[in-house]
Amino acid sequence: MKEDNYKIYVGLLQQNEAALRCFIRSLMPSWNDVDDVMQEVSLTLWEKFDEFDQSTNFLRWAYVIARFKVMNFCSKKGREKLHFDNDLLELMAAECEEEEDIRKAEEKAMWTCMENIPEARKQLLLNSSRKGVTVKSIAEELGKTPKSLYRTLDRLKESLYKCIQNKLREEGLS
Amino acid sequence: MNSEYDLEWFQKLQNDEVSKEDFDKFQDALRNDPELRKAYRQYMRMNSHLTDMAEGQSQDSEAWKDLKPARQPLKFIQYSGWFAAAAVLLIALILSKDSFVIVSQIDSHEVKEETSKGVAIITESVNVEWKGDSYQTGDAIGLKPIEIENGILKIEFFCGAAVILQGPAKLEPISAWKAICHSGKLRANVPPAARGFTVQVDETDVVDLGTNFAIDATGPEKKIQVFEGEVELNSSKLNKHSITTGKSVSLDKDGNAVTSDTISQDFMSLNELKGIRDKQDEKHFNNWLQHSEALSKDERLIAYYNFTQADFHRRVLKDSTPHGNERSGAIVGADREQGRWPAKSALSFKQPGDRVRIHIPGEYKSLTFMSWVKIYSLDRDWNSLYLTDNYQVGECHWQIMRDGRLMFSTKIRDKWESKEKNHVHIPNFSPSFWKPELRGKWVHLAVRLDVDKKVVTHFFNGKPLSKHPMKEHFIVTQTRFGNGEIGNWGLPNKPDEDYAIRNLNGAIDEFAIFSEALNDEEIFQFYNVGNPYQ
Repeated sequence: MKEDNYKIYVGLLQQNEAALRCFIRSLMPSWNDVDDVMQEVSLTLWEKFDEFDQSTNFLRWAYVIARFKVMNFCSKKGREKLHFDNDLLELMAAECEEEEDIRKAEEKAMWTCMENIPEARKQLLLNSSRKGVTVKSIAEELGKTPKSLYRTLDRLKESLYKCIQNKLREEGLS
Repeated sequence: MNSEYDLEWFQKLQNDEVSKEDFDKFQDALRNDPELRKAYRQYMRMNSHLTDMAEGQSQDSEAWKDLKPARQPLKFIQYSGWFAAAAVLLIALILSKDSFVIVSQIDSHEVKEETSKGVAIITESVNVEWKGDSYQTGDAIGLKPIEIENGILKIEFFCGAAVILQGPAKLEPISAWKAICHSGKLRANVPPAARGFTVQVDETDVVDLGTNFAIDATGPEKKIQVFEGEVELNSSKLNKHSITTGKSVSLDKDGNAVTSDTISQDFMSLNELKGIRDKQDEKHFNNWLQHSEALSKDERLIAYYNFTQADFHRRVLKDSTPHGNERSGAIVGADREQGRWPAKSALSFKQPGDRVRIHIPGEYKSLTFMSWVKIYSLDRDWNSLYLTDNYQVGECHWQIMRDGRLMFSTKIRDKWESKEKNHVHIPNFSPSFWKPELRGKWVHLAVRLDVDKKVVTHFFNGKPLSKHPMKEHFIVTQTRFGNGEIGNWGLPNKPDEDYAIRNLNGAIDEFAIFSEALNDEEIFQFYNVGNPYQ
C-alpha cells in the first residue's frame, strides 16, 4: 500500500515539480535557498500524503505547504538574507497560485523563444542557469570578466523575457 | 510597470547585489504595483524554467508535448538534489539498485511527422574531390547540382535507378526520376521498376526503357551508348530516336544524332566500382587495425574493445588490453553486424534487452571515453552509451538524450550534505550533435573528465563540442566502475519490476576507456584514423 502511495506521490510531485519550484522561486529573492526549501516541501508532502484527498488538486495542496515552508525558512534566516515581509509574501503567493495557466504558457513560449537564440548563446544561458555553476567560473573558462559576462547574460535574459511576453500577448494571456 | 524597477534590477536582486534598504523600497513598490509584482514573478519563473531546462528536468512539462515523438510509454526522472532527502527517507521502502529511478506512465502526444527533402542517396564515394557542397556516403541529395572535380560517385535515385558518375562531372537532379548531366561521364543501371528514368543532356532527353546505358558529356560532342536494352532520345530535333544494345549515338552541338555500331568500355560498371571500393576499404581497415593493435598496448587503457574477433558466437566481447580476460564483456542479445568496413564487426543494439555487460575493478582519477557509434534513432529520453549498474559515488554515466545532446555525469555523493554540497550528481549536457542525416552513419563520440583541470569536455567526430567547468565540491577525485553496461542499463531485480529502458538503437564497433584525460589532438587522431568516410 505504502509503495503504491509512493508511486502516486512521486507521479504527482513530478507533474507539479516545475510549478512548485517556480512558486518558491517567486517568493524567495535568493536563488540559493530555493533548493533547500523545495527539499523540505517534498519531504513534508510525503509525510502528510496520507492526509491528502486524492480527488482534489495536488498543486493547490502543495502550494499551501510550500507557502508555509517559505515563511518558516525566512523567519529562521531572517537576519542573514533578504526576504519578503509576511504580508507581501501572502499577497505574492496568492497571486502566483492563480497563474498556473500563465506559467505553463510561459514555459511553452520559452521553448519556442529559445529556438531563435544562436546555439552558443543558448548554451551560455543554460550553463549559467545550472545549479552550482557561478557566472564567475564560466567567465574564467571563457577568459572574460564576470562583469562583461553578467552584461551579456542580462541582455540575453532581457530579450528572452521580451520574446516570452510577446508570445503571451499573441495568445491573449498578458 | 514601475520604471525604477526593471529586469536589470531583478537580476541584481538575484545576484545578491541589493542592500537591505533598497530591498525595503522595492517591497513598498511591489505592494503598490500589481503589474510590478506580476513582472517580477514572471522573471523569476523564467529563471526557474531556465534552470529546469539546463538541468534536463523539464521533460515533465506540458511544453514538451510538441517536441516529443508520439507513443512514448515510459519516462524517468533523475534522482537530483532536492529529491535526495525524500528518497533517503524511502530507501527502506524501495531499496533496489534502481531506487533512484522512478517510472511513471504518461499520455502519448500527437506530433508532426518528420519530413526529409531528397530525391536520391549517395551510396558510394571513392576518392571524391568536391566542388561546392560536399556530401558523405548515405547523404540524401535534393535538387541542387552535385559537382565533383575528381573521383567516382554512386547515386541511387529514389525511383530505383543507380547512376555512377565519374569526375570531373556535374549532375543536377530534377526529381526522383530525372537529372541533367551538365558534364562528365555517367553510367546508369535502370531496373524494370525504374523504367522511364531520364537523363537530360544539352537539349536532349535520354529516356530509359529498362536498360544499362552511358553518357559521355566530357566534350562538346555528347555520346550516348547502350550496353543492354533500349533508350529513347527526345528533343526538338529528334523524335523518339531509339538506341538498342551495342549501339551508340553522338550528338553534335546542334543536337543532330549520328548513330554508330561501336561502344566504348571506358565507363565504370557497378562491379568495377565495387572492386575499387573493396580495395579502398581494405586499405582503410588495415590502417586502422595497425593503429588499433598498437593502441592495445597503451598503458593508459582501462579497457578496450576493438570488435575484431571472429568468435562473437561465444558471446564474449574481448578486451584487447593486457588486462586479459578479466574485463572482457558478456554479450547479451546483441547480434553481430558489419562495422565501419566490410571486414570489421560491430554489435547491434536493437531490442530493449540488448547489452554488453562488463566488470572493471579499481579506482581511477581522470577518464576519457571514446566510441564509434552508429545510431538508427534516438528512441528514449536517455540512450545508453555506457552506464554503471548502480551509480554509486565515483561512477559514471555516459548517454545520449532524445534530442541528441550528450550527457556525462558522475555521482558525487550519496546524499545532501550541506548547502554547498547539495548535489548528488551534476549532469553535463552538450549541445545537440544530432541531425536526421546522421541516422545509420558512423560517428565518433568521446568525453573527457579532467579531474585536475576540473572540466568535462564532450567531443563529436574528433572535435570538442562543449566544455563544462566544475566547482571544487562538485567533482569526484576518485572514479570507479564496477559492473556496468555498454549500450544499455541495469537489470530488473524482480520479475515484476519496472526498469528503465535505455538501450541504444544502433551499433557500436569500437569502445575504449582511458585512465587519463587525453588531449584534443589525440582524440582527433583517433577519429581521423577510424573515420570510414574518407
